[in-house]
Amino acid sequence: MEKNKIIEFKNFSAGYGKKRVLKNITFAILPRRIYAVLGPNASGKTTLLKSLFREIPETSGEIKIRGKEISDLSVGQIAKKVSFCPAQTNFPFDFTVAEFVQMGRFAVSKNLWETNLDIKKAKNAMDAMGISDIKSKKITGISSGELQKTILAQIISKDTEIILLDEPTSHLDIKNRAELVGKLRDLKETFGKTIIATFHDLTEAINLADIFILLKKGEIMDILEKSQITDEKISALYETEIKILDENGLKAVMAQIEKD
Amino acid sequence: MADYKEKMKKNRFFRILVLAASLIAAVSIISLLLPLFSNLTETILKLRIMRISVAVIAGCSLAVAGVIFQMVFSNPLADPYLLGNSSGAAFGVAGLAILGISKSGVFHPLAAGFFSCLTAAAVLKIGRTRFGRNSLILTGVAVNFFLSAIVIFVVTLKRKEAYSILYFMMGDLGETRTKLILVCGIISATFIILAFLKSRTLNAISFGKSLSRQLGVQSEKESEKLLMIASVLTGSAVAVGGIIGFVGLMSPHIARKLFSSDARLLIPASMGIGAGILVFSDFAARSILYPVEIPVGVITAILGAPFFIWLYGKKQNNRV
Repeated sequence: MEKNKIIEFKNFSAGYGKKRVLKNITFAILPRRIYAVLGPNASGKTTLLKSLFREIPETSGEIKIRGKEISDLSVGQIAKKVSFCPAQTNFPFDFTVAEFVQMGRFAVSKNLWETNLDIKKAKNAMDAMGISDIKSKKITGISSGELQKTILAQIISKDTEIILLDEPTSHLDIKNRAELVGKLRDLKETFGKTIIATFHDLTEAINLADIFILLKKGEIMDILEKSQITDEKISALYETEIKILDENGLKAVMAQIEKD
Repeated sequence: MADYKEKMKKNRFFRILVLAASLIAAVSIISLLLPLFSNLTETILKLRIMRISVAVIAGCSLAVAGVIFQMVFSNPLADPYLLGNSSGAAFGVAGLAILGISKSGVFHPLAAGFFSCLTAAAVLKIGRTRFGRNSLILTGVAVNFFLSAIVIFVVTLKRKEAYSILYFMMGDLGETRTKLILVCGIISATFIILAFLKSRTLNAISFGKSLSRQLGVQSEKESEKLLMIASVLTGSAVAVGGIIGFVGLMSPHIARKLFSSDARLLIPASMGIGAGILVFSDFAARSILYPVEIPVGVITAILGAPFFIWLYGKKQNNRV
């Protein structure tokens, strides 16, 4: 394998109180790839992402980012390397889209006011996500598709090497999903980002990701390249009969509906 | 272009600061020079200047405390009064008064700040362990009633002080101990500056744990610091002007609608509005039943309680 591992999990376990959600996980993430974390509900997908920000109270084992153990890094230092888009975020106050995107720069520079570079990066991020025309709208008054793009723009303005996304497509309609998948691919190919995302919708995952982490009951069942994904492996993961259909390289994943 | 925008942004801050300052000044001067029912002698003028200083200190402190509580709890309904902080602070002041310590009042803000911090910690602990984040306000209201009852109970033990302290429970801007006003003014100014310097952290925290972490803010640690700042500010406001409800709820909300949700602009704007509301309410409190004076907290509650109901309705529909 390549030597330039960007993230390493080594015998890593995590949980809340007495409940262990992740059990003895060991694997590595390589740069410039899109990883999809797949698995049934409560298999530990979100916990896996949150572990990188030391958000889980009980952990053992280690996680290294670029060779540095995360328990030696402050949250501020981690935030300069990693970005995270949670599955659900509360927006209790009506910041504007531009204000929200610029906030991403706070992870990088702590001045009381944004520098010219901060403003430029935020503007480029909004251009990249195609939300420049709604920049003075309130985040409380835009559609979920626009909101998802706004959060991604904040992440792009931070300009970190690693991006974690928790179910990025779950609140979006099909057009917005397709657009988002395109943008994520662009982030990898043009900007050289490493993306780790959890998915409920396997169709999106299979069309977007390069490598698949199959997680079941807190343990890694398998890590597969795109070409190694088969009906059997996915079916075993979800304990349901699943078929992957292929239309000239564009794939769709369907579950067999049980007949009586 | 970027340079221009940055300048605009900073200008906006200074515009708000100037506006806030002139708002306070304008309302103060009008209130000063309106000798509606009395001749403006030197003594009256001096008393009025003191009254206005008290109103400005309490108004600014409560407004900034409101901004902090609302953003730390991601809840636009949070307020130092509703969360029980003000009663905690009053408990501290009443305790000193009953024990007969600190007649000059210099130690009042310290005791008030201390008990206000304790109350915040208790409300947070009870709210989190028992009901989760959403019931924080309810927990606060319960703690508020409890502490108010304790204060009144303690006060009744010593009848002589009863009247002034009961008055104190609904807001009293008639403080005349110059040293007390000065100490509170210094404490409030210091902690408002501290809060302002943490504006961007406050912005990040308002989005909750996960998002603030990815913005490089360790929300638990920073929340504690910010809540302490807000509690000290509440303590200072209560020590100088008694319990005045709803100023911390209304001012940030109005400032948000008029200016911005960004704490860097919200803090100065809320200060201006908070001080304005109090100076105005005080004027109303002294004029409506002249020569009888109504406690200023009565006026702010008459304005604030319907405001709370309206805001709660909006929050239920997710439109705040």
